[in-house]
Amino acid sequence: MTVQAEAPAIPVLVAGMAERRPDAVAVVDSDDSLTYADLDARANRLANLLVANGIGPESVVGVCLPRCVNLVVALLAVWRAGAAYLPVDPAHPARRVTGMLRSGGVTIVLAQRATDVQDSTLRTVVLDRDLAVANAHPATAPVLSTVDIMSTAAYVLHTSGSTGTPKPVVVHHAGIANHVGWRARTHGFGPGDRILHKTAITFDAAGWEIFAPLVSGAAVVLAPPGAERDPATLLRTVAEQEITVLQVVPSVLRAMADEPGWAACRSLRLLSSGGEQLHAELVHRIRRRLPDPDTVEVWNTYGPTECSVEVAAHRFDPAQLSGPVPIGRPVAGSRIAVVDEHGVAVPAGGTGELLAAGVGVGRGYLGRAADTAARFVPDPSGEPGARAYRTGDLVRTTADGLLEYVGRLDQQLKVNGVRIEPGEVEAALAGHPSVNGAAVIGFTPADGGTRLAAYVLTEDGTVPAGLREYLAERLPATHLPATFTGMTSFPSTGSGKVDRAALPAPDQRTEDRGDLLSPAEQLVAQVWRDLLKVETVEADDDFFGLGGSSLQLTRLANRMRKASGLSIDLGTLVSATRLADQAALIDQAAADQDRIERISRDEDLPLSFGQRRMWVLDRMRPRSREWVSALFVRIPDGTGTEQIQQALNLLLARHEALRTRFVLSDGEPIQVIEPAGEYELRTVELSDEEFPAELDRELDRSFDITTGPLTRALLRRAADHQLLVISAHHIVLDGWSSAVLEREFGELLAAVRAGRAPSLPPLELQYADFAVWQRGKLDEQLIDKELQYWRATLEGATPTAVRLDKPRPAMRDGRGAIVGFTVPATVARVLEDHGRRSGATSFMTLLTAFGTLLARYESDWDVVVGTPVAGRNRPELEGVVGFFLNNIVLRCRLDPDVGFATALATVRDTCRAAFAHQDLPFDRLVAELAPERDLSTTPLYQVAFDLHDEKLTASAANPADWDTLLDVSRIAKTDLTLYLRAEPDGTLAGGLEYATSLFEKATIERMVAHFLALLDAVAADPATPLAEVDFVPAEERTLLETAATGTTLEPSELTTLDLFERQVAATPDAVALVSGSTRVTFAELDAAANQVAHRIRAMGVGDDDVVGVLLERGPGLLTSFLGVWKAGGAYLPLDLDAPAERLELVCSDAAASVVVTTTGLADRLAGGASATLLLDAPDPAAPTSPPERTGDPDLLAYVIYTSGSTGRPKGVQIHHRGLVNHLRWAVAEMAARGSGGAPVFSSVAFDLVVPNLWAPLLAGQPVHLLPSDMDLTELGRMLSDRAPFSFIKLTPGHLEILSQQLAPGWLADLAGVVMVAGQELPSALANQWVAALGPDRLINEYGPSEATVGTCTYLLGSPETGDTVPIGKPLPGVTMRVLDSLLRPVPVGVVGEVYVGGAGLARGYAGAPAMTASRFLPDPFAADGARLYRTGDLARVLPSGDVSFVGRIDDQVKIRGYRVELGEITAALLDHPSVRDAVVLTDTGENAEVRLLAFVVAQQRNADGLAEEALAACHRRLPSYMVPASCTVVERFPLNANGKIDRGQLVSLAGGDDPVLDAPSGPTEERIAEIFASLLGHQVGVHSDFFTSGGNSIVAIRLVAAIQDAYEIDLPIRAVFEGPTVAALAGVVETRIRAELEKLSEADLSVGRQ
Amino acid sequence: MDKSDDNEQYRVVLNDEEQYSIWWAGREIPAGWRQEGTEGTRDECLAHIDKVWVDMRPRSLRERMAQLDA
Repeated sequence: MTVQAEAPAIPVLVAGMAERRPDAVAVVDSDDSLTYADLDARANRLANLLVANGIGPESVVGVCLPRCVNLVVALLAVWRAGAAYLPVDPAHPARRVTGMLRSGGVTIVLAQRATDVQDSTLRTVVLDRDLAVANAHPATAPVLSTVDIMSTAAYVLHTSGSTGTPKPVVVHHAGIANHVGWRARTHGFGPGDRILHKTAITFDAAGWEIFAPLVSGAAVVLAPPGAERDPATLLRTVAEQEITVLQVVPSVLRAMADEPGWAACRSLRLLSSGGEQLHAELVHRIRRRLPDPDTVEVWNTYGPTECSVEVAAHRFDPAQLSGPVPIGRPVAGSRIAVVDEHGVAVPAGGTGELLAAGVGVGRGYLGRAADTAARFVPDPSGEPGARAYRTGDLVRTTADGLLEYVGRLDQQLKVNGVRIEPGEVEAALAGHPSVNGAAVIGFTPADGGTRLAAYVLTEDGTVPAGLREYLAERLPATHLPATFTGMTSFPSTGSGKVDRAALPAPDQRTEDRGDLLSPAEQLVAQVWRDLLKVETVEADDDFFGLGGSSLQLTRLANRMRKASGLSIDLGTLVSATRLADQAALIDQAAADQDRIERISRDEDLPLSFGQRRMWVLDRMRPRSREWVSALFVRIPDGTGTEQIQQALNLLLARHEALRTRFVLSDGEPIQVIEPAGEYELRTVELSDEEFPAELDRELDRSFDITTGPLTRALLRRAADHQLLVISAHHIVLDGWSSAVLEREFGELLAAVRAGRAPSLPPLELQYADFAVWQRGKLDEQLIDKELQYWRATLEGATPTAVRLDKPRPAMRDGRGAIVGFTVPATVARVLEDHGRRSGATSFMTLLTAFGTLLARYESDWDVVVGTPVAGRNRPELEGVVGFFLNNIVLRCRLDPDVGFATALATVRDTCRAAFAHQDLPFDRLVAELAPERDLSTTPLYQVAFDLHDEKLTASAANPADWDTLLDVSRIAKTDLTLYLRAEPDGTLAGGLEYATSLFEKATIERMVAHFLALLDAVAADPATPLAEVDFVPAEERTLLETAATGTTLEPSELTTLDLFERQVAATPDAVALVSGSTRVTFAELDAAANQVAHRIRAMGVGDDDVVGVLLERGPGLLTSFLGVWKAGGAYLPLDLDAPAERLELVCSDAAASVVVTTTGLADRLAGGASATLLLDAPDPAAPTSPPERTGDPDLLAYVIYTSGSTGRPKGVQIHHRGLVNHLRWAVAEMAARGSGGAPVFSSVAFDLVVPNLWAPLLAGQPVHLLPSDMDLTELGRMLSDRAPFSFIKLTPGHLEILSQQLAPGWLADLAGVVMVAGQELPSALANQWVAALGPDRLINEYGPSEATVGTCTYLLGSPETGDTVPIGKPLPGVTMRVLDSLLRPVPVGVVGEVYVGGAGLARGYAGAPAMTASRFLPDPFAADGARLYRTGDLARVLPSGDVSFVGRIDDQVKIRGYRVELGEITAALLDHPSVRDAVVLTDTGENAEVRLLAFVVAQQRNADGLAEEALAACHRRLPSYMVPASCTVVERFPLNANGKIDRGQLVSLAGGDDPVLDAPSGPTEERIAEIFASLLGHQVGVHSDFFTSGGNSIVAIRLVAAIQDAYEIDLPIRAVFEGPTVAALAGVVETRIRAELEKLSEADLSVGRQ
Repeated sequence: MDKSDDNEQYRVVLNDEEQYSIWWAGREIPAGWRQEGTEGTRDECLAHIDKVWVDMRPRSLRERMAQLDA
């Protein structure tokens, strides 16, 4: 065998290093260290000893040494002697050691003690600490008898084969040198590195741990013996020894994950893992523990012993969040093939066996020719005679070209005939947030066959609830394990890998009597079973009795600590040896640790998590009425004010929370408890009418949380009663606390009045004690675990948001109102019964109903709402006053196809799981999941549900008081909150609270009506699928039905052509069209058209045939259209601007065999198959009388191509019946407004101009054709030159141009009526025209081409208030409905899709039956086989019955999971006074990321800086995800041929948005940039956003504190949210400092004057 | 009907004018329409319609024009 190596052999390299760096430390153990010179000399002396004993190349020397410096010396010495080493573990059984040495052909063994090798046939050389035995030998390297050291054996290692006896593998020097060299190069080892050698020397991975440092000049640090199995020691060693490189197998890494001490591993720069499947979840768990994760590289490596350690490696990419970490690509010198059982390469992506080849392939198994031949096979890809090693490992290549480990060939299982990789199931299990590790094996149940048994590693050794369901969502049913077994640790092999053979049998464990044990006993039992390898344990069992030894007590204590998370004293374990006794220790420790202690008030008192959240909210909007809570207390007759004051004072003395205020100390808020004193009490004597206003004022006073007091009382004395209103800041008072206060105040007052001592239990604890306890209990580790749950649960969730009536303000407006209602007792009772049957509480039942309503409103069945939780689940906190509330997010994934009863079970499970994780402080969840700055909404949810417990209601308050309170509590906690409260009479009192800045009251009232109807419906029939529950009240249904249908027209069989010819007969000499200086009369037009008709008839055109028309705007256009009709055909208007290819496509698609054009234009049809009729080559012989025709109104009139947003253009086939239906309306309502006809100035290839073209002719008026080459800059002039028209129909783009070009007076004179269509009409633009035209002269029209030009219109009587003008009601003969996805009418105000039907409906799309069938659906509202066209437009019906356009379905943009309305962004841009017009478009970048692009037209010519200012305006008004990536100022929006904004052209104008880190300028910016950098850990530019650069609301507090400290000014936290950049904050700081200075100087002046 | 999941079943339906469309398999077919006989996924139904709906003129017009030709 020839082997080529890239570098010299390792012993030579180490010698070279010893020469270059003799004094550098080479090897360190706990009590010794060697320099490179020492190591080299010692190794040489020992080598010479070996040579003297007959050892040379191809000898095998046994090495039986514990991990110590002499081990390293010994290995090197063996190599210096030219021999191979065979390591054995002195701790292993003697018989195994001897067997291994013999099978390796060893004659000499190097050992620490003579007794370590009990075989008289072997010669043992005992190495003492000083290596005295070799002292007499020279320190120079022996001269070897071989020149080819690289191909000689380097070591013999026994594989720990999972089956059979270990096999001795021989690896040659070239192999190990190649790997060590790769490691050293790839990881950049060098002086300064301290690499931990901790892998047992009997495993090949130990080789590089020792030699990679030694060939690099780095230090090998030897871990203490046994450390490889002891995570804590390992971690401690890494920290204490300042280890830079650590290798661990995943099992050990997993065990290390929960160990404290990662923070101290500051030197660590490389973590290498291998030997088992590594999962990304585990890597991230470790990364989260690391002090600076980004400085630690993680590598996953793969390689069999047979191939010199590793053959593949992969540097972990932190972007990988889950799943198996790939093993990457071949390392240098190795080649990898993935083959099937026949050795044939599998296709890319397929799974196959890994075949390793290259320099690393070892020599084979010592003394086992057959085994060697079986596994080491010819390598066709290598040089002649090369071998490859069959690893028996299954891998596949990922899409990125990386190898991924799949499993062992011999672990592959067949279950019911399905081949299953246990590794795949393990990977899925490992993804569960509570599972720390997993193993899956096959087992044979009593009934034979093979089943999967899953073992999961969890904190408490139990199987997480719902694990099977979790798996079922991720794996095929065939892959689901039959049994699940929870464990706290896995049995492991010597190398730390999971010892699958030692996993307990699954079926035996199910018979475990665990259910008889207490939780603590179960925990101890689990630890015993793992430790003692016993199958069943009982409470009375004795640890020693079951075979435990005192040596195992430490491990027992460690494991109990780990499993329970409690501190278990080793000493106490010695005396408590029974299982029950040990369990008692755990219970005791748990009780000790979890007790809330009364703590000293002398230290700084931290805030609880909840207080802190409230504090941040308050700081953002200090003294807001939002934070005021209030309760009403009826005062018994005859009570004196003094008595009330006394009782209040007692209450104040009793509850510290009422006397607490909050101040900043070192950047952190703390609680300051004031001594007891007088309760602030004010007395008023007011009438019933006057009191609400007074109460309003009282609540408006609000509270300053920094100065206090945070509560006060208002006493209203009336003639017949007294009422006390206690108000407080929410931070000291939650709903539960209110009930406590009310109850206690009652008792205190009674006691005061009776002159007795109050009978209230003493308060052992106060809120501050809870705060300190909570801070201690919820450590980062626990929070991290809870976050894992929530992260997984809310992955991809979008907060449910009900569509708003008004644009969302940039800063959330806390003002709210509430619409009250009552759920009748009968309905409530039935619902409760349904719930009970499904095991659901009232909360879950009502939430299911509310969720259904929200889902139906938004057509989104993934409902995400919030709910408050009381946070009082400890009995000792029941009487404590303070803020305990927390919020949680409920994500109900409802199924539209199941009934209410089934949905209940889903919601029940959702709620149970969520409530089990309710302790995670909400602000931490927010910081984790929604760290971005967004002051416009409440984070994580915008709709909430709150069910009040009956016992919490303020019982003393009578209904009148309650109403007053409701009336004055004008707060909206979020966008929309449903409150429900069970009343004693069985009804549910409800309220729908809404933000008044977002919703109209009418919308909420309708929603309440819908909710009540929905409750009725699901109570009556819980089996109706949720998607079909009917909740639209009858009167609303009637309104919708009336609004859906236009007036019916008298039926007529006449076509447009018939009507035109009638007009010709009536007014033959009237002017029919004007084009430049040309004027054509009706008779002339008709005659010319007749000629065209004869000519195309002659070309073969007949009924229903399509004829293309490619002409400039001129008389010929109308002549041709009419001529085509007269011939029985349909015209296909061709766009002059379209490229030849498109013209050709359109003609062939529409089957237009003839095209009417002119000589000059004909060449545009080059290559087309159509025949042409040249209009400029007249045929004088053609008759001027009309040809005969059938005139069937169902024949096609025209085909118009719509530029479908995706795919091919679609040819819409319009028939005469539809066209004349629209034109009859246009003649009556539009042309009748004057006598001047209408202008045509945009392309006739679009149907917008159809009325302009035909309505004048049918009314005997002229059509004015403006030249084709007209520039839009001339539009205003050209129109006013020809005005007045009867009507003009145009696009909003044209309207905008005209309003710029013409003065209002001119606008008014343009036409009798102006109709806008084609795009959304902004109210601002419309109002400008309404002002100029007066009422009823502007019409907004909507209509897809597929329904013939126009569907509905809205006549503007007065200025509009919304963002855009409604599109109104359907035209005569038309139906228009707003429907949900199942074609049911959506309720008023709810968004649905527009469907259009009626006379105008097109025949279909030319040549596209499937497309036609998919867009033209059976009309379920008609019984006559009529169809409905599905427009793809979203709209909603307004309470007036008018329809309001919302947007295109495919325009709905989701950005980072948020639904974004582009209109809102446009509105924000338009708000800028210098912005005249604005458009926001989306652009999908190369990485499929959607970007928002803004385009604005400036009000003035000078637009310098406008783009920046407009974006800044967006930043002020909009959440960051809605702020466009760029803003481009354009002179005017480019319009396409039909007058609509040319989006493609606009996008191409967009500027870049590469972020540039602008350097700070000036001292303030520089200082603040430093503060940013110190908090964020990296430099930022002056315009970098604090939140998108890694900040969150919690760090924002520190930022503000740091700035305040630096400048001694008062800065509100909201300043960071409003201007989260260095530049903005520097501006604020400078303004404040200036203000301070001015105040100072004024003060100075006034002092000076005195 | 566009965003229904791939497995949702539809029927090919047609009206008296022999205009084709599709309708959810589980839902009552609107009056004036009848089943054509094909049932399957949305794509399957539409592919079938592409094959059978060769002449998209309404039946009554087709008949009137045929009479004239005759």
